[in-house]
Amino acid sequence: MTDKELIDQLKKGNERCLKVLYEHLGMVKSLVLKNNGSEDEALDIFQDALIVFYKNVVSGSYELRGKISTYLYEVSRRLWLNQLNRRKKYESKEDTSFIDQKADEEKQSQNSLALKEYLKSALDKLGEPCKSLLEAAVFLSMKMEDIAERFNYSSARSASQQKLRCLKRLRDGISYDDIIGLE
Amino acid sequence: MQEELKNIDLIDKYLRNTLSPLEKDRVEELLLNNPDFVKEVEVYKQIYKGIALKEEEELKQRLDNYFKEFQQKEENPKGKYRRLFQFTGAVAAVFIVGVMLFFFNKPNRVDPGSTTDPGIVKTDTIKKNDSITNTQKERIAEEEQKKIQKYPQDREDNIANDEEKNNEKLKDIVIEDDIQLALVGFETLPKESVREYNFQKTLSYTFNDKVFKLYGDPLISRLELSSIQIIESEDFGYLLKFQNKNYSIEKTSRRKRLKPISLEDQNNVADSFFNNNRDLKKSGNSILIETPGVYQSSRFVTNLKVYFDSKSKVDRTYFSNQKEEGLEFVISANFDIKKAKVFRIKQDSKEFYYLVHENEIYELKEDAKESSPLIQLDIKTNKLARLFIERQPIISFIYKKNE
Repeated sequence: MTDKELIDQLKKGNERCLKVLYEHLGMVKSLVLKNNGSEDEALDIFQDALIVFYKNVVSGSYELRGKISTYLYEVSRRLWLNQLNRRKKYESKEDTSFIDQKADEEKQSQNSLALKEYLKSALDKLGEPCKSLLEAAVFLSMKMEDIAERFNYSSARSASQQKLRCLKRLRDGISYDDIIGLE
Repeated sequence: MQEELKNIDLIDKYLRNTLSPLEKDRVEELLLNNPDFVKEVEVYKQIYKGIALKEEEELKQRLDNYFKEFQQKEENPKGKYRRLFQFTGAVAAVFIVGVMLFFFNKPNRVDPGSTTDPGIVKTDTIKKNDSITNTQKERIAEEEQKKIQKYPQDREDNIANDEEKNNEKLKDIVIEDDIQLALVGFETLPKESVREYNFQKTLSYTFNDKVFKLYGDPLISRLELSSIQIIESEDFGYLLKFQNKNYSIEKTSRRKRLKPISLEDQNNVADSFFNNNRDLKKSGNSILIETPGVYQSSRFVTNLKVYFDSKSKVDRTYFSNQKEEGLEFVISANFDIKKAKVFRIKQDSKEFYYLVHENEIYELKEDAKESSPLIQLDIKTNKLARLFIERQPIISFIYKKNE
């Protein structure tokens, strides 16, 4: 599959094609291993880069200029760099503030977990096609034209109206106090 | 219903940063004056965050599965890849045999001092001028091998594609790698120090018993500030006179837009208060009049990153980097990173960048591809640089009509 064919497939919704990109994992692995990382970390970083790439493709902000492998390498490099910087910051922190921050972060991640579950059940309650429509519009930032095509709406305009109605229905099932409490 | 959908549309665009300039004005107004709208924005922010968290987790799980499938396929290659693998294997074997021939054909190659096992050569103890690396051919062979160890994936490409092209590509990646290693020594400026300020003259204010803060024009002169007059009247509430205009204000801890008083009130008010200063007297306690600086009125940005090498002993320099995720500045200067801030100032759809370190202001050019010197700005000649002056509040009084 050429780079262009792959991108066409992804745009059509054939997410499974991402599989072939794992052939580029090797170079990211050697980059991370050389720079104080482990194999698991390399896989995580590479996966995050795949997500960045995939989202950019379906939202239309990725342009095929160079090779996809170069792009993935560059994004992975950047992500790993950020992680190293964060790690360095932690190591330089004094013990007490470190513990505070750790506690803060724990609370944050607990809230995130709860928020995720909350939205999961809210979206399940919402049902199709709203659920998939919102996932495509909000998470993948797909263009309305593409959403209209994938979900069979007559135009981008009607897809966008449908999206707003779905958002409203989702919002109506959510209580302000509940969701703000998870901030 | 339509009205509600319209607001949801605005919130959606606001959160995805796709508002048109007109819609932006509308949203800003709603954010200032409509607490319900503010609440809704908060709710949708959480909804979007929740959806993103949930989706990302699910996508990661699917990716795990794709990876497993990929690995299985790797283990028993078949179909059109089989030939490629066989070919790759054959070429690799020939190559390894070649490299081994180089090593084993050389007499007196082993450094007897560095290892007890004469069969092992520690490559990190080899000096450049060691007889062991003396021959040109050998050096080339080693470099080749290093490249391959670094990028085994590219080895495959090498065979599949035009070799010359690939050699170039290898070089590119190796060079990039050097930059990466150098950057690890840099510190990232914390996100609270990388800020954006939208410079547009929409005046807003907060007001309580002790302080009146005027937002929207940090360039206002001290003279103009000290001519501000606040008057308390039984008929009209609080009135503010500023730059020859009259505004009606009220106590508020949320920022409100400064609204001129209505035309019909204008005449009455003007006649009975502002034009006749002799009838006014100071009342009660003093009040501070402040114009909060850029720092207080600006917000964090995510698409601007600043890396700092504060241990740099050479000249103060910087360069910029336009990345997919946004702009980057890489700055080398012996500054205290805790006191350094970088601002993006937006004015009339143009963007300017400034580095502020204590009392010094430096301009950063968006298109500085080459390393450029940091040049300190003169506040007297650069108008925008004046944004960063810290201003002392002015002490004033609330006036009342002299009965």
